[in-house]
Amino acid sequence: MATLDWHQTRTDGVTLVELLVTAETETEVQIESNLSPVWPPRRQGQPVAGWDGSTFTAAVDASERLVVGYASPAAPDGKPAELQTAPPEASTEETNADPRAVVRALGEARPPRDLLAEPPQSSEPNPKPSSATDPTTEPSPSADPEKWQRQSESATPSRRPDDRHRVSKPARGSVGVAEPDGTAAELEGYFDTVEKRLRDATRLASVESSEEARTAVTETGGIEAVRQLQAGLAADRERIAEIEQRCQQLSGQLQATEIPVETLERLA
Amino acid sequence: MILAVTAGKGGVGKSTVAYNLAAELDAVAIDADLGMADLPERRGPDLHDVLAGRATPVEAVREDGPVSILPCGRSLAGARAADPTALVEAVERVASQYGRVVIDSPAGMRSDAGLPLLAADACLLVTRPNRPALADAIRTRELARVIETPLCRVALNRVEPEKLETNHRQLATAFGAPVVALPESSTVAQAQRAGQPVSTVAPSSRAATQLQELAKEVERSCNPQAVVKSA
Repeated sequence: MATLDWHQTRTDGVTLVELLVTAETETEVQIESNLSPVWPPRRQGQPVAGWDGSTFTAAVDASERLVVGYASPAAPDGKPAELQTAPPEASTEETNADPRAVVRALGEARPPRDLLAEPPQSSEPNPKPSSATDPTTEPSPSADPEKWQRQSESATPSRRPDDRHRVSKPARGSVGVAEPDGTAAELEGYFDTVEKRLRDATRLASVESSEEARTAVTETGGIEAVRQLQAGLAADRERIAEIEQRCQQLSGQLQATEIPVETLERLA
Repeated sequence: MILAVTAGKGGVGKSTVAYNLAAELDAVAIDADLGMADLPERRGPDLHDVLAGRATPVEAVREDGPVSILPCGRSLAGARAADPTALVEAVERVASQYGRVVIDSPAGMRSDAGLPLLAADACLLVTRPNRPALADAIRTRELARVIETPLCRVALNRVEPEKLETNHRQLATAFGAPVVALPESSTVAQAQRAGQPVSTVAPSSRAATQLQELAKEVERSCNPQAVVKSA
């Protein structure tokens, strides 16, 4: 018999879920999150062992309770997860043959994001799943909400350590504190840049003869500029996806938030 | 058959050996060095696209050159967007379509070096015959052992011609695999620069003969009956 206790904290558009599973005997448990999508804690960019999509599988013992933490952009649910006692054969015993285990053990080898040719930092970056879930990697079941709040804040993008590499970028000061108009203008500027890059890319993609190819490459500024354009587009894809995700979160929050002006007026 | 050509250190001739072995074995060469690709570039989708889910592994294989190749993109953004864990399945799908695959792995000890080993049935370790390269090769040998990929041969690359006949028993004992010496050769370097296998450029050269011999040995030891995964 296993029991599930939970605690949810909502901060900066992210729900941090803390689960505590206890059992009287050794039991294999499977936890299915009701919140979707799940941002599991990551090691070397890969979900930590036990996570498969929105399901976490592990063993729990009478002497050793199981603490699981994860994050989700979804709003807190009454019950964030369902507990199932999995049959032994369903256990996802990890072997060396799992590529994700190899990456976790040997370390991620992808080039860091900061190396890429980034577009101007024109909008508030979306909280990265990995940073948002860092506090939940080793959550303390007894941690008070105050502490969680503090830890969560430290994981918000405006204080990301990466930002010290971006001091020269104009948008740094705008993160979280910019005037709405300023941020909107910067976003507009970024979208214009992306549109220009797309126009250039379309022109390059539509060449049909070697003469056209030469002209298109020269107009772009040489083959090195074409490579940079390609890198820029790849960075744009990532960036635009982040902005889209952020917009969805904000849209959800905007729908759910209403200031009771009349009540405040009466009380004040 | 999936063979990973690996090395402890960069610059020892791993890509050259991988490309020429692929030519001899009539295999698809997969350039799995996601950050610093070396095999010839081709037009069309590459391994970055495959690992980012933008192309299937089989459609990214180019058959128009002297060696069928699954090329790798050169951009950092492409390397960043690629999911390295998808490599194993991609390699398996190419192998199921073409039969034989030679993976040109990155050097080092991180996951980009480990994943090609995980995908392979066996590996070939390339090293220069000098102390720093050998020390790193021993580390890569240990990595292969941990990942449980059998080491079929050690290729001692760019050996001075007068030392070709040296007995490498001590090295073979240290690595736990037979050692094959490949000669220092300007022909090999020229062929690689031209994107051609040595057997095409100089079929009767000593280097071509040695590479053919190495391919035969690799093929023999990769026979499933002959290779047993170490525990």
